[in-house]
Amino acid sequence: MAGTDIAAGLLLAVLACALAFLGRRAAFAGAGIAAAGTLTAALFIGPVPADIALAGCWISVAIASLGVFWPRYPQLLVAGSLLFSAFAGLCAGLVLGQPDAGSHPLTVLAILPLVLAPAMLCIGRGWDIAPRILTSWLLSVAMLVGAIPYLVDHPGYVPDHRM
Amino acid sequence: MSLPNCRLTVALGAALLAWHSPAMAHESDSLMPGFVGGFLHPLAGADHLLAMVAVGIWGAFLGRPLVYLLPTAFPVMMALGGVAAMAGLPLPPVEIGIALSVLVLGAAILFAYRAPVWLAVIIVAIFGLFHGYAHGLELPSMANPISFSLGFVLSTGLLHICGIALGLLRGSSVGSRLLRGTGGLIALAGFWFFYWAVR
Repeated sequence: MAGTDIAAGLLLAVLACALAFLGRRAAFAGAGIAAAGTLTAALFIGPVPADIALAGCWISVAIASLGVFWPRYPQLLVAGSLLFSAFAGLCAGLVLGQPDAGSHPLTVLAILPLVLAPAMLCIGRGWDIAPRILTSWLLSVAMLVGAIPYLVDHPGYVPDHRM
Repeated sequence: MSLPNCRLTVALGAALLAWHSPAMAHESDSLMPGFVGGFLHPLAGADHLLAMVAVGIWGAFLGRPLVYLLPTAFPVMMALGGVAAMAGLPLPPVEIGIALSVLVLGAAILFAYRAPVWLAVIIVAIFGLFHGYAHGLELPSMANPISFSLGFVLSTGLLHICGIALGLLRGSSVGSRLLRGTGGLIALAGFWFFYWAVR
């Protein structure tokens, strides 16, 4: 995946983890809505400024991560989550619709089922720790990937610490 | 801890210290770029490695919700530390912070300290900041910083999981003693790192 594609991939992976906590029906519905949003934005909406698309991606990653750590998803939030899935899908699609995007949207969309299925399996068996820890990894990577392009001054080739 | 266990801990600790030399922590100036370099970075320094395994063990020792909150808070704060380093924000001496993390986490396991949730998360979050700062200082010089960050986050997470797996031994009394002994060894190593950091 190219640089911007990673943002979309991270978003879809975190979204899949969050959806897995909703229960089978809502999770599949959310994944379907997100996939439809991604394809619509990538294939039918013209390129938008990359900064806006990426900002939408990073905001969505943050919101989806919060969803994973919600102690118990109230049913009222399921509707909101489905709406959010549409928003996240659109953001991912806008990033994948950028001229410099290196991957086809369908390739990146494969992340959704690849993360959702094992995450649902883990939650079903009471191993909800796994998707939560995975989400924290993805969030960490998202923070670094989002910040690196804006940090111009590099310390250079200096070993980090030495005794 | 009973006297024989104390003796065992001290003997194993002495063996560990004799085996380990502090120069093992990132002794090379040439840095492997990309994912492999990032993945190996936490494994290349005993200070990083012990702290991250200790986070997992302590989390498992404390049970839910800390068994997942600690390994969750650590990488997130580590990423923040990395960003702070890249942005050039100052932080108190990183070496001392990292050494303290090994010492404190090891001691927490040794004494089976059942910290309240908020305190455990704050302790681990602060230490995660120091470890991330250390990674962040060398991250931008990588050929591909994104793959480097993917590598060290994944490696860190796997070390936490190793710690959690070890922490499952707490179920039996022998396992619990073994874990506390391991905590003692980690604390001893942390003391050694601390000595080298402040001398």
